[in-house]
Amino acid sequence: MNEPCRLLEQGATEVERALLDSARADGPPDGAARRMLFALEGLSAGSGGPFPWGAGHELGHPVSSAPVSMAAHSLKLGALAKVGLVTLVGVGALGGGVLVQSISGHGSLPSENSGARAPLMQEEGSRGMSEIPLQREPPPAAAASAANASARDGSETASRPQRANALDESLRAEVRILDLARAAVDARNPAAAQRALATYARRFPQGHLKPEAMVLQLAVLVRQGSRAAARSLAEQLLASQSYKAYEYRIRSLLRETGE
Amino acid sequence: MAKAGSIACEMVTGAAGTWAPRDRLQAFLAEHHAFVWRALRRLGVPDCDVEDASQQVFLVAHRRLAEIVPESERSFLFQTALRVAADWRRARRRRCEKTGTDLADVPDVGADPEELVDQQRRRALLDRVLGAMPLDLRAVFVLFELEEMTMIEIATISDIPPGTVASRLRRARRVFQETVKKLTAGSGARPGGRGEP
Repeated sequence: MNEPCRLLEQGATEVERALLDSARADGPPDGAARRMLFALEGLSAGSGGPFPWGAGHELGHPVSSAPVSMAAHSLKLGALAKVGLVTLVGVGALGGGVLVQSISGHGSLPSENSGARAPLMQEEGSRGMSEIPLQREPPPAAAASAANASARDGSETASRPQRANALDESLRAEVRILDLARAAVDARNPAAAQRALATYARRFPQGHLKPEAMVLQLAVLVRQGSRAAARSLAEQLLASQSYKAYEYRIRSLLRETGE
Repeated sequence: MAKAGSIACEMVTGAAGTWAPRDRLQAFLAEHHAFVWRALRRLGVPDCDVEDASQQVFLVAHRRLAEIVPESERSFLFQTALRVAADWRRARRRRCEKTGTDLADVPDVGADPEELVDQQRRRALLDRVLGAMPLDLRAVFVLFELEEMTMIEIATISDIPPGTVASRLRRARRVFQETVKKLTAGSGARPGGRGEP
């Protein structure tokens, strides 16, 4: 077979060249492979086999930490699965919130909305997965939702809206905590902000709004006058692709430290 | 070699497999993580989701590492990445249908080549251009133009005949060039000479 020349070698236009070059320079952010290693190790150590996502997972939006077995699917949520579903709903109603026990009986329970990325907290020197309390504050709406779901028959369709509601609730809880932290930062009360952020980090080690939390953490350091720590954190954030959208804000905060 | 054909099922079931030892996993990640990450990005998984998506790919590989024939790792990983990216696109389409947003709804990055100085903008524009391709064409285009694989390697990785690789590449290039042309129309950028495979 004749090997054709690549576009870049063959006089692509300036724009085409720029686009192709940009992709070649692209790559994972620092530490991503390490995080992956921790995550995979955590999963293999913690779960003994099952995948952490349910059958209806969506990428980037782990809607449930409960793995669902193919047996349950093939039986169309037969008797065994119904028992599991009832357990799931029951746990939700009792305040388990997002964390539910696996239908298939595997015991790994990553922390709230952490999906498979939960083991990152081990890397960061905080608590392991097993130390995350399973009982959390029952979000009122989640409890109501679980109760509504339990009122229905244990049909397959019940689990999806329930998971979606749980995710919504989880996001709302994240927003609430970060709002508190932001208000405290604005009120020049870094201690209160720090407490809110610590709560956030504990409850949502890999929350959807973690970048926002990190930028608030930077704001707290600036307010506290911890210039070296603020500078160090800002550099880390600026070096990460994930914080590109925050660049202006991070630089503004850095300017406040006199940098 | 573990076939990627059973991956979708395995991702759902968590079918039995053996977790690879740490050192092998570590070496495996060191060698292939960037490749998988780039592949997923270019196959349409956005920045914010790519870490989760690559975790899915490696989770499958982690379980099947003992079965993957050496030298076939990339093939296995790319096929898995392709499936994960396809899942992501389907999931996104469902979300878009619910919210009424357009699948190709990416930030308008501007068409003037002068504005393409910023790396991030260029990548966003590239995402948009690649997004105009069907996934099968996109995969061949990414492997050939960006990963610089040979046609034979791509045929092996994708498990398709070499002739199909060549025809997909031709079609992918046409889509790429037409989309770039469309996006830069009126900006003064003139597509220059280019060859067909």
